[in-house]
Amino acid sequence: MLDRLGRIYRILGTGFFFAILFGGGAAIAAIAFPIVGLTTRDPRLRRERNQYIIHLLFRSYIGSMRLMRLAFFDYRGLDKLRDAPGRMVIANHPSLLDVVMLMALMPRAQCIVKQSLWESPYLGRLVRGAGYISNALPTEQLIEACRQSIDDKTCLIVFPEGTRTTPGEPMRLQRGFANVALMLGLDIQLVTITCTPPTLLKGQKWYAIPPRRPVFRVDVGEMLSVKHMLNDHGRPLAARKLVRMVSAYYEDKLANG
Amino acid sequence: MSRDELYQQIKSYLVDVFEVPADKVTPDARLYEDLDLDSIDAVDLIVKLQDLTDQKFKPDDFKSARTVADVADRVDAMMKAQA
Repeated sequence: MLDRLGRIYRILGTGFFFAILFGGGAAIAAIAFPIVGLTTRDPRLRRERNQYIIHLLFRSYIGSMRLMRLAFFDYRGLDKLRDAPGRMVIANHPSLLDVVMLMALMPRAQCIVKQSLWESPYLGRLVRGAGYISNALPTEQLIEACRQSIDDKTCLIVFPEGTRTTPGEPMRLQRGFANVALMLGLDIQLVTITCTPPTLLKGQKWYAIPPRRPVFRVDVGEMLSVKHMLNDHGRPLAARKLVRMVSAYYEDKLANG
Repeated sequence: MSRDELYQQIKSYLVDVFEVPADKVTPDARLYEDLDLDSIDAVDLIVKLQDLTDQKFKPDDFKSARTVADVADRVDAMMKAQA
């Protein structure tokens, strides 16, 4: 009986938070961004302020989920994020909450966003207004936007899978992150995200909540320096090698913790 | 450079620079779907072809090129137009 009540509570709570995420996001895009736009002329500063507002929104979002005991959040190695500004931060992408958690942890985060989210009727305005980077940009513009992010000392968040992991299938990384990192000579901070029991997966409805309260773990792991990788190979080969290294890292992390 | 030499050169780029298994490179192989290239690779390949032919190409020149043979044809046509 208690179990059942707990479950009903979590379904209602999760629904409430979804409404807030979408509603709050739309409200910020409709109200806060235009105010920032009116008061801030410099596009760089405007982007920075908009992204900081999103950080505050997501931080309070995670904070209240924690407070209402809808999920547990287990963070490891967070001290390493202090050095993340000016680096690329990559993470695997099991759940819908991944970007919310990462942006809640990093006050100054830039992010490469997939095209479908960029054009989304719900969150598109928020994503475009915040000045994030669309992955559909022509290559040169994409590289330039990433360079700008690094020059501005923001954390450049990339999910190399390009979208959430398809449950039951092996993780498949795209190569864009590797080419960008090699071209710009970036350091890559690796982050591993897990959720047990799994929830908010790709293709799962939000109300299909797990039997137990989920634990989201964000594990800030190794830092990869890629500059030396161009010594022996041309960039296309080095990028492929880097993708294999990172894939092996995540396979090991996800299998052995 | 003949059209056939061009094709051979493109093939050797694909194998050496982009790690494509040699047996997968056929004239009809599609760059993205069959050979696992992405848009950044495409730009890199164009740069290689520029160095090879001493000509300047725009990414748009290759917009409709889908297969290895398409790329060879495009470069061949542009070299002939130049000559």
